[in-house]
Amino acid sequence: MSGEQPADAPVVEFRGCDIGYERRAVVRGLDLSIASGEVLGILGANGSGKTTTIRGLLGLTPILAGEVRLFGTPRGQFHDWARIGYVPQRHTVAGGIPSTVGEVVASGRLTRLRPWRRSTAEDRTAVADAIAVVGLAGQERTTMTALSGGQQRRVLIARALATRPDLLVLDEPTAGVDRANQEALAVALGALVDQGTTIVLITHELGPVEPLITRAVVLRDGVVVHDGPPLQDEHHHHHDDDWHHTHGDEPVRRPDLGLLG
Amino acid sequence: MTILHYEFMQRALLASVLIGLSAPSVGVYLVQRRLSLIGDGLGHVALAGVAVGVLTSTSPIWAALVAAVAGAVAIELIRSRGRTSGDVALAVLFYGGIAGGVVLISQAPGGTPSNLNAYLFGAITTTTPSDLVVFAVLSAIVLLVTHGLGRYLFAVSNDEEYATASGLPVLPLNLLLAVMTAVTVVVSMRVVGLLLISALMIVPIATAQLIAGSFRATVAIGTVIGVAVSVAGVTTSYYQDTPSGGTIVLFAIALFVLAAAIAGVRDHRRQRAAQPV
Repeated sequence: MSGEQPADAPVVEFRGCDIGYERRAVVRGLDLSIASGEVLGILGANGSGKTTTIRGLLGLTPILAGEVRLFGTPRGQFHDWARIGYVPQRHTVAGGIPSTVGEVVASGRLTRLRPWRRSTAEDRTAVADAIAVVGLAGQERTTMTALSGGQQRRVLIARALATRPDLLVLDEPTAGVDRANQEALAVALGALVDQGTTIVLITHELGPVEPLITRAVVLRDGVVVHDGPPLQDEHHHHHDDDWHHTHGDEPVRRPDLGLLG
Repeated sequence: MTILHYEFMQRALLASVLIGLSAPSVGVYLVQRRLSLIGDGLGHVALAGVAVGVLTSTSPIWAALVAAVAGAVAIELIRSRGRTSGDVALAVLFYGGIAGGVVLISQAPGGTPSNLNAYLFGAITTTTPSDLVVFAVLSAIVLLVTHGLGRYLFAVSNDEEYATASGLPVLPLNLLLAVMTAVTVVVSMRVVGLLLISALMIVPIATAQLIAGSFRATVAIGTVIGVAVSVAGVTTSYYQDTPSGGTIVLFAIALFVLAAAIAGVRDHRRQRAAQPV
């Protein structure tokens, strides 16, 4: 870690950011500062720019204007990628080559390793710990395709945890995941929050992770329309029995997400 | 074993072991990335290099290596830009390679069609002692890279976007894999042949993934199959007077069909066992 970073710098800072492709900005004029220890929920309808925002943070989508800082360092000069864990929205099990839970999670540890070197006992412990945090202890040798969709999602979270990151970014971790797996996920995230991990998570349904969220940002058409405490008004709670899930990709959307409506 | 009395057979068998080891080691990453046909395309491009080597009376192996590596880098750069026109660009490159190769070889003094067949489909009599040295060095490089940096190649092949977000050097790793594919194509050119090498990269891995439960086991089983079918193919080629490359690939496909049948029966039984009585 370079000594340049002020200790109290925000974990993530967007300053006047336009984010998008080929000069077409999907997210416009984003000013957002995320402090250490926050659990930020990014909410909004499909196409509102939630995924584009975190892809901009991670360097997967170009920043067309403005600046992104990670741990106080401009993103172009940031190289300490092991401090950031990323859980993509969906995982296409590429090519069908069998891989085990342990192999996939270990691939998240690479940014802490040196090329050509063998992994150390510490690396193996970090991988085993990450698997245990998501509640899959003892499944290291299980083939990925033998797991349910929700369990596979938890493996991807373990992969992101293998570097013991300070910032965890999750894209729709609960979409298409059954209730039991959502609860296992909420327990895992709660443990990380207790350790002081900063979390940014995209969702358009809250479910069991809702109590963890300390701050909500709502996007509409690429612009922030709400930034503040989570929308915990009374008229949500009587819908708690309505958390059904389709088995496809589209989660059931709550009809009354306040500002989204 | 009478066949070991002939020095050309000793060389052919050694060359078959080398290619049997290296082809699946590269192929596993190609299968994982759904780039199974890249090796085939590079074989086409390598033929143009062979032709240049024959015409200029230099070693066809070195010219083929230059052509295949240049082709591999071009392919990876086109692919990384992700344009739809890239598909057409690859086709032009591949067919340009094989068309140029055929035309150039026809101009060579004493360039006969049977000569061309040996490059395309493999022959057991063509491996020279100096070829064998080059193959050994190239195979060693391929095995060192694919196993030494295997974790990185796995990460990039398994989930390229995640690898990018983790700050891994994705383009250099992709270029490295493409170059290793090109090198493997060149190692294949005596006993397997430029048009059949892709099968030896892909089919042993496709067979192994039917049986294996992990990536590591897929690589191990695929490599054992690669060596076994290569040696069996070269040996059969000696006794039956068949082109060695075609014989090797038919053995590989026979094992694939057998493994698919076994896996089919196994899955059927598992399904029945899982059903409540």
